[in-house]
Amino acid sequence: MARSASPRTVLPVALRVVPTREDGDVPPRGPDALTGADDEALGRAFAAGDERAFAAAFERWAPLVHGLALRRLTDADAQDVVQAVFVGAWRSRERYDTDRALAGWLVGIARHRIADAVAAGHRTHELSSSAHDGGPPGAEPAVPDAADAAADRIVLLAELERLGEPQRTVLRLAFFDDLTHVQIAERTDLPVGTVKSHVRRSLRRLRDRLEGTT
Amino acid sequence: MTPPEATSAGPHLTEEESVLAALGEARPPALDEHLRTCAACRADLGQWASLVSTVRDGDVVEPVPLPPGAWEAVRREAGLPGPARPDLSVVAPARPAAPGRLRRWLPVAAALVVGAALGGGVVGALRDRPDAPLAASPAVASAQLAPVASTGRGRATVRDVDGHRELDVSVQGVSAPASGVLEVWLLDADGGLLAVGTLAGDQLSAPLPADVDLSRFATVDVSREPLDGNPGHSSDSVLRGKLAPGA
Repeated sequence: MARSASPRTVLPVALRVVPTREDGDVPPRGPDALTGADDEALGRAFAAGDERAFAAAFERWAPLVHGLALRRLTDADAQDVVQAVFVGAWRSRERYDTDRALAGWLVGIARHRIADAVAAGHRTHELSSSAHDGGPPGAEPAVPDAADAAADRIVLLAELERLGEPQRTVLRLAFFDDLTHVQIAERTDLPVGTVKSHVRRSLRRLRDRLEGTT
Repeated sequence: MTPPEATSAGPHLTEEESVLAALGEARPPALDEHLRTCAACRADLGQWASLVSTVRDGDVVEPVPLPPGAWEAVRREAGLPGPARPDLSVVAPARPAAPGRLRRWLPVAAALVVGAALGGGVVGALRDRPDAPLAASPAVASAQLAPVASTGRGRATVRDVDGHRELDVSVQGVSAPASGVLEVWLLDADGGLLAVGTLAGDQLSAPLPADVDLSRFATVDVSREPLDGNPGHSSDSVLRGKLAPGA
């Protein structure tokens, strides 16, 4: 991009430059590179305070967080949760560990927000039911297990994608192709001991990351 | 706590054995024998198995699109400025608007604080000065400003004054928003813009730094800007014209 001579180098009193274009600020691939950036690059840019990364993260994962929230909440509450999750995530982006999947981190925040909203809903329900017919409070079906498993799955799959190679391939074969470690070794030309070690360490990592979000 | 070895058959499962068993691999009879007698290893295996089944059979969350405006609400709530981009169609119709394209504002905001504090004083000082010296300086470039959408007109002149350049802008027939200002910008052909200053009444005289390349930032733009703390261009341009050498 022929923007080497940045006018930002001089800032006289009455003149400011909009927008700034710092070197390294704009990815060399162009302004919408983040739209196609892999999750890892997006996560790093997000943590660094890149507003485009924030927008891209919203575009990429807000529908998923929304889908998750809609399992337990009404439309309006679910939308509020999505907004709270992303605003909160942006404000606390310094706490995001870029070694982890951004999607998993967002889902971790969503979990808490959804639980809070459900709890608030129950309180409202108790108030209204006691005001009206004194019906049993908390009668709404609480189905945290299924919703939590769905959230867990998002985190686990996101972290699976963050594994390096060949660990990612090894674990995918174990999970989704139901191959034994011996079969995986044959398939990947890795020693059996190496495959076993990859499977164990990778699963341990997934579990630790999952526990970090709950 | 793991139970004492004496009550269980054989050694505890290693994590590797536990993990492979959780993935459903066949296990040697000795492991089964141990699991029958060791609650701790059973619990451990159960945790791994639960993780495996969550990945394999877990409920899939379907993404649900958000209603239009959801991102705008988040952006506002997070205190981010909008993707402020003037409509450059008059200047550069070929430039496509990149979706989700935002720009970095923080350094700009800092510069704005300084600029607002100092710039206002400068404009004030300039207005107090007699106009004669400015008017007598030779014009190096000028532009007729034509209405972008409705009415009004104006003129922009770049002069050499004591070895530096000044941009003088005067406008007629346009007004600032109720709670806002008219602001002068220099635009380049592909979306770059420099904020020059705000009009005091219908006039602005502002110094241009020596490094500003007027062959690149050749378009003078006057926009209506709400005083909303957003340093970006409101996209509400009222006058525009291209600088050409001479008066």
